[in-house]
This record gives sequence, structure tokens and C-alpha cells, in this order.
Amino acid sequence: MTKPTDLVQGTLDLLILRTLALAPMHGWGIAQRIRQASNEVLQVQQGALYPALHRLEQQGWIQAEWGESDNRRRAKFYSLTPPGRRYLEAERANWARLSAAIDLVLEPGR
Amino acid sequence: MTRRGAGGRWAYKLPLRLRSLWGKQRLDAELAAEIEFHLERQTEENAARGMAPREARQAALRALGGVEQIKEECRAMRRVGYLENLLQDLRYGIRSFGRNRGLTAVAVLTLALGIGANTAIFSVIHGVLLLPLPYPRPDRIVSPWQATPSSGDTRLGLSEAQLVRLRAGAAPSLAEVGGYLLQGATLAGGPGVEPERIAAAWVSAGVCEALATAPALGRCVRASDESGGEIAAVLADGLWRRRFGGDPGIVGRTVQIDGRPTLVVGVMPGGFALPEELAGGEPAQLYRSLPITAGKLNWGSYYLRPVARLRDGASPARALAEVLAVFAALRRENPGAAIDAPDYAVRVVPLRDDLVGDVRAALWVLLGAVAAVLLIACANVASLLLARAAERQREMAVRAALGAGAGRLVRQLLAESLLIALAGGAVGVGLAAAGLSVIARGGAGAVPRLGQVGLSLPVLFFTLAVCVFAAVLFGLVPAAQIAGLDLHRPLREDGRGTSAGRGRHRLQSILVVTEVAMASMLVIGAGLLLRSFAQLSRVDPGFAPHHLLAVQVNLPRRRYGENQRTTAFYRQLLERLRSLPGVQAAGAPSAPPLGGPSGDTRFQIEGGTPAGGGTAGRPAGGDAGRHVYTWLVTPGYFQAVGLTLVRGRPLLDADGPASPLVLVVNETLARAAWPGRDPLGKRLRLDLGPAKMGPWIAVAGVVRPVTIRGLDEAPQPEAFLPEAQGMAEDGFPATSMNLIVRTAGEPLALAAAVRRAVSAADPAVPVSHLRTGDELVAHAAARSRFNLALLALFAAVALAMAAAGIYAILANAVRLRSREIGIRKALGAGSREVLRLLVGQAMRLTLAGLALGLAAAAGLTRFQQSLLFGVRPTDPLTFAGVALLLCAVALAACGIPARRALAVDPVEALRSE
Repeated sequence: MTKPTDLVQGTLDLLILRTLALAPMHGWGIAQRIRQASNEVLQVQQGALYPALHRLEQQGWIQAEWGESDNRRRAKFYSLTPPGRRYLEAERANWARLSAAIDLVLEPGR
Repeated sequence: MTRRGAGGRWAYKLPLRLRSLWGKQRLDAELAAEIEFHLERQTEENAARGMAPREARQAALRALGGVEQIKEECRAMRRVGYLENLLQDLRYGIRSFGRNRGLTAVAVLTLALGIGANTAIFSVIHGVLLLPLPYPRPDRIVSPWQATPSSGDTRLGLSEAQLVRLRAGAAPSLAEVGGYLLQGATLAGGPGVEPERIAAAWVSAGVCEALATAPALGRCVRASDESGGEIAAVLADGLWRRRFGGDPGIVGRTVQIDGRPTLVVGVMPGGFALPEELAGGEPAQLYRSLPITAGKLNWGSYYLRPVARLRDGASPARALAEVLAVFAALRRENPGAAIDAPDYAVRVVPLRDDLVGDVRAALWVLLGAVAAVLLIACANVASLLLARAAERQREMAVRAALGAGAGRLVRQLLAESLLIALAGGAVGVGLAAAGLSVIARGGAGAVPRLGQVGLSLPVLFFTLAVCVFAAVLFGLVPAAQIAGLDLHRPLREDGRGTSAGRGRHRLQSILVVTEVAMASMLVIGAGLLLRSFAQLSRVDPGFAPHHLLAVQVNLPRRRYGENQRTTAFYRQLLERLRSLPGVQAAGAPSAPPLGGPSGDTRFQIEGGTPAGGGTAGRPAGGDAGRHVYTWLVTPGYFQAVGLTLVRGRPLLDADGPASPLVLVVNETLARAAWPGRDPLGKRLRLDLGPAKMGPWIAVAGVVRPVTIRGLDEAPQPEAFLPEAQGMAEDGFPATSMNLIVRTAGEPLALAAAVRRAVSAADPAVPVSHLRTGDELVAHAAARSRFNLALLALFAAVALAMAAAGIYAILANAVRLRSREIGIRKALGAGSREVLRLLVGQAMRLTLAGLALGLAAAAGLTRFQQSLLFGVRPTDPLTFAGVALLLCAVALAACGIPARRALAVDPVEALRSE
């Protein structure tokens, strides 16, 4: 596997929430989807994924339910809670503002 | 992470928290399954890429990283932190106590005593002092009392004239004014129902308004009822349900009370009681209108218990000023009727102070006492825990090596302390419950409002708070000691005899000194009360209480409406009683000794200034308006009750309605009225109403003073009038009298015979309030005895605990220094030297504690002053006695350790280690 790009914890949370906004998914599926959606650029460090998921669950942004996966095995599916959805929107706006600001600084010749 | 939306998230967070606390195993299984699922998918993907199955699995594991570590991190995300740690600590603590049952039992028991005592006393304080009184806005209710403190701070009520004047608004600060008098009544019987003697009260108009309590049915007493021909009455809820079946139609009907038709005008709500009844005892079942007539008010008899409500915005001080002005004006109008003592004072007292003011000091002293007991208990338990410190150090060191911080260790130890404290609290509550039932029985008559005392919710909260406080108090020191040490040392060597051991010993010494100091303070307090009680018991009550039987009889007014009938009845009855076997003498007074005053009024001596007939402007004479307590008595009374005659003769049968009027006075009155002269034959007259002085009465005899209410009161002027001569104040014949019977043997043995004699004389006369003379005296000392009993109990407990503390530290010292003792013995020291070592240590600690305790007591016993009688708060005899007692106790505590020290075998001691 290619060397994964380091991701800041808050950013990982954002990615997880965004992924779950589309549909409930288990941990493995979330990692796959992020990789696909980012055109293989973002490889989630698997050791960081599950603690992040559990933290988000304990904080009430996401909730979990055991269900059947596509290959008929039992897996823990996560989904967004209503507060989680609101939080996602707010954090997306923040991220947009933040990245625009970084762009401004990086842009030469201001 | 922001805290936005925190409110809505709790719906999801809470179930997780709960599961984390109680479903840990399930959660761990789920976590393992989740990780396993991930590994399987990764393994599949690897296999699909062409790896061999085993390699695929290995690659998947490598990609994931440390599985255990991930699991641990996920577990750490479960935010239960403190709570889970606490539960873990508690579970661990329970296991460790199970191993050390003896120590745990001692600790729990010690704490149970301390916490239980606090719970019990706080429960009393809560019920008596803190609970609100059962009237609306009770803080606005006040009572204007008059007093002449030199005569023993008796609370004189209002006279009818004073009541009417105040009620008319002469004192604007008092919005409502009323007066009442507790006096029993006889309810007529009916078909199949006996006549019944019930507790009742005369109330004036204004009482209901002052207490702001409206009747549940009908109306309360009005001014028009007072002067009307018919008596109106309000029933209590209890009587209404019991005798009249709760029938609302009772309002408007007439019933026979005391042989007179009485119109029922209302029913009071359940639970209502007059202020004087709140102190305890049977509440009145009937409230009759006070028969006062505007033109014929009684000016000289101050018998009405006052109750008034302050106007909004008025203060007791302003009310007092106004009341003083009103009374002064009344005095000018009728100088003959005024109280004329040099220290006459008026006070406007709020209801709460009236009710509990007497016991307040005692209760706070008791609270201080139990607080001291609790502190001693905590010190003992702290000492116990310290003694165990050596063993626990090893255990703590291991935990520290595994990564626990000092804070975590201290929390663990405090959790264990909390456990012991809660266990002690639980047992303590049980002890308190038992103690309260004893207090309820023994304290009746000593403590007001006892009915409100119980283990209510606020009291239990208090107990919980005390448990936590105690846990911190006794747990902090050992915890700090244990956790603050260099925890690595114990792992390498045996931790005995190190500087830590010495530090522990020093701590224990400080604890013991504190214990001794507090125990000595308590014992001094109890000792002072003991001496007070002894002094009180030595007071001569003025009569002979042993072999005395007292009983109350009440004649129905309808049939005994004239003096001749009552006199004849009593004469006949007393003859019957005297003829009973075992009866040495019998007589009847209107009130028994120590049974409170029967009547009080003004009197004038012959040769003094003539009394004003109610005209203003007449100056009050020097001896006009003296106060006297009066009793109506039959012949034979003086012998029956054992009064000491010092001059003249007692009242005889010959003193009848046709004979010259005579009375017997006591020395106090004789000395005040005719100082230095022989009072026999001198005459005085009593004030029987406004402009109505009675006829001149001659003094026939002088007796020693008899105590009226309490053994600690100063002697009052007293006068005994013959019942036959009918000088009762209200003009009515004496239908309510007490029979006093002097018996040869046990008084109660004659109780049945006395009842039969009364029944034989007249079956319609109820007999009530049967008491022996000893009971009368005991009742008068009830409050002192109650205080003494409680304080002595706590002092004894404190002393025992302090002794245990001394014993513990000495036993420990012997254990620690056994090697040193062995060496000394080997070097030739005899038993005496070894003992000197030990006793020396004990006495040093005790004396240090005594010094602190005596010094503190000297400063603090001043707060006990109001409880003492005949003893100074710094009584040297008591202080010296307590010092000796504590030294003796300390020496006794040396007993077993001394034996052990002497038994130390020098060879063994040298060899060990």
C-alpha cells in the first residue's frame, strides 16, 4: 500500500461524518469509501479509524446498530444522528473558511 | 470539538454511558467482533489480490496495527472515568474489608456511635427548633408577657382589662389580640355514654384572628359571645368526629358542658392547637368563649395567656413601647390593681422564642457534645487506619508501579473511607432510631414539640452529609500518609521502624491528645450538670412528697352551684377517704404543689393606702397592688401535704361561712407585708375585680413556702383560703379541686380505693390526673434530668472512645518498641522502669490533652450557664474531679499494654528482626 497521507484528527472526523451522511456503513466500508471518493489519495490509517468512530459515538454525533453486511455477516453499522447532521454542516462551513484562508496565505504576491 | 448541540446529543450519550457502566462484557465482545469483521474483510481483499490465506491474514493484522492497543483506545473513549473508577474502588474496598473483618467492625461501630448520636440530636433540633410552626406567617405572632423576675421569672398573662384595652386597638402595632386559658371541661354524657372530662380552653375573641386560622366549619368566638348570656364554643376536629360523628349539623346545636348549655358555633380544622399546647401534651378539644363583661372586668388577675399578631411593618420593639404605654395608662386608672414590684417588666416575645427559648441553649450544647463525640470517633478510626498503613504501603507501591498516580491512590483510599463511613452511618441511623424512641418517652415534659421529632428526609440528608464529612476527616490523613511516601522503598525492604513509622506515631499522638481534650470538655459539661441536678434535688419543695397521692375531681356546676354544696361534698368525701385503711390524712387544694398556680391576684394590707376605686388620679400606695398566688383549700390539707407551719394554726373545720374570715400565708408574704412584725391577726383583702375589693381577712397561720412550678424558682408570696368561705376570684364555688391523700404505704396501692370513694360520694364526678407526690417532684425536674441524662451518656461514650484511643496508641508503641524494651531489660532494667516508660508516655499524652481540654472548657462552659443551678460554670471542684477521672482512665488503659510490655522476653526481642 502507498504511504498514507497524515490526516489531522478533526479532519478524519469530518470525513467520517460526511461519508455517513450518504448512507449508514460499517468501519471497513467507511475506509473504502473515503479512499474511493478521494481517488485513492486519502488512505485512512486503520488504527486511527476505530478509536475515532468510538469517540464520535460516545459524543453522540453518530449512533450504531448491528446489522447484516453485504456478504451476510454481522457488522456494526454507524449512522448520523440529527445533532450529527447539524454538526457536519457547521464543520463543513468551518473547513471551507479555513482552507480559503490558507489559500490566501499560500498565494504568492498579495 | 465544539459543545454545540450538547442538549440533543444526550439522548444518544446517556444509553451509552449506562451500558458502559453495567454492560462492559457485552461491549467488549462487540468491540472484538467489530475488529474481527474488519480483519476478515481486509484478509479477503488481500486474498483476492493473490496472497496466500495465512499471509493475507498477517498482512491484514499488520495494516491494522496493534489490535489490543486499538481496543484499549476504543475502550478509553467510553467516557465513564470517575464514576467507573469509583465503583471499582468501592468493589475493591469491600473485598479488602472482608479480609480485615475485626478492624472493619471496630471502625464501623465507632463511627456508628458518633454518626448516630449526631443524627439523633439533629433530629431533635430539626423538629423543635427548625420546623416552622403550624400557623400562617408564624413569625408575626407575638405575646406580651409581664414578669417580676425576682419572683422567679414567672410569666404573668394579661388581665381582662388589659386584654380588652389592647384588643380595642390601643397598641396599633398589634393588629389582632386575643387571650386564652387552658382549663378542662366536663362533657355531659348521653344515653349509654359516660360524662367525660376533656381538655378544653377558654378563648377570647381575637385568638383565631391572631393565629390566622379560620374554623373549618362555622365561625370562631366573637366579642358578642363573651358578653352574651350563653356560652359559645368551637369544637376541635378530633372531638367533633369522635363524639358527634363528624356531623356538620352540630353547628347551631346546644350541648351540655360543665352542666351549662353551650352553643356550638364552629369546628376547627384538624391539627389545630393553641400556642401553649404546641409544647406537648393533650390538646384542647373544645374552645369556649371567655365570659367577660365590659362593665365588670377583672383588673387584678393576670391569667389570660396572650397571643397577638403584629401588623405588617411593625416590629416587636415598637409593639413593646405601645404596650408599655397602654399598661401605664391602665395603672393610672386603677392603681390598686396594678402589679407593683420593683422589677416589674413587660416583654413582647415572638412565638418561637416562647415555645423553645428555654430549651434552645440545652439543645445547642447537646449538638456541640455530639459533634465532639463524632470528632473523637473520627480520630479513633483515623488512628486505626494509620496502624494498618504499613501493610497497605506494599499494596499501594505495587499499584503505583503499575501506573497509578498519587491522586488515583488517594481517591482509592478515600473511597474506602467513604464505604466505612456509610456503613457506620447506616448502623448509626438504627441506633438513632432506638435512641429517639427513648427520648420520646423520657423527654416528654422536658422538650417541647417532641411530636415533630423523627427521622425525616432532611435528617437523613444530614446524616449523609455527616458520613461524607467524617470520611474525609478520618480518611484524608492516612491516605495522604500512605500515598505521600516514597512508594518504592517498601518494595525493597521491610518498612518497619522507618521514619515513616515515627511520623505515623507522631500523628497518632496528636490524635490522642485531641481526643483526650474533647473528652475532658464533655465530661466537664456533664459533671456541671450533674452537680446542678444534685443541688436541685436538695431543694426543699416545701412539702413531703413521699407517700402522697394526688388526684383531680371536677364537680358539675349545675348541681354544685353553691358554696354549701361543694363544701358539704368535700367534707363528706374527705371523711370517707380518711376512714380508708392506710390513709393517714386527706385534704383538697385547688391545685397541688408543683402543679402550677391556681389563682393570682392583688392584695392590700390593713393600714396601707386605701385602694382606688378605679378613679384616675389616685396615686398608687406603697403596698397597694401587691401580687399573691392563692389557693382554696379544705381543712386537713396542711397535714396531708406536709406543709411546715411556723406560726399560728392551720385552717380548720370551724372556719366556715359563718365564722370570721381567715387565711394562712407563707413566710415570703408575711415578711414582705409585715416586715419584722408578728403577722398573726393582721388583716388583708384581695382584689376580686375592678372596684371590688374583698372583705378583710385575718391571718391565722404562717407556713414555709411551697414550690409552685419548678424547683429552681425563688419563693413567691402565697395565701391559702378556706374553701368553705368561698373567696374564689370568679365568684364561683370551687368545683375543680385536687384530692391529696397521705398514705402509710405505697400510694398507688390506694388508687383504686380512692376512685371508689369518689364514685360512692357522687358517681357523676370524674376522677383524673392521678399522680404520686414523687411523680410531681420528678416532673418538675424533668428538664434538668433529661439534659443530664443525654449529656452524661455522650460524655461516657466520649470517655470510652478516648480510653480506646489511648489504649490503641500504647499497644502500638509497645509493638514498635518491643526491641527497645527487650534491650533495656537485657541491660538490667526492672519492671518498674519499663512501666515508667509506658505510663510516662500515657500520662504525657493525657496531661497534654487535659491541659487543652480544661482551658477550652473554662472558656466554653459559660454557654451552659442557663442550664446550671447553684453551680458556677468554672466550678473548681468539677474541673479537678474531671482531671483526676481522666488520669485514672488513662492509667486503666495502660493495663493490658503494660502487661504485654512486661512480658517481653529480652532474648526473643534481640533475636527477632
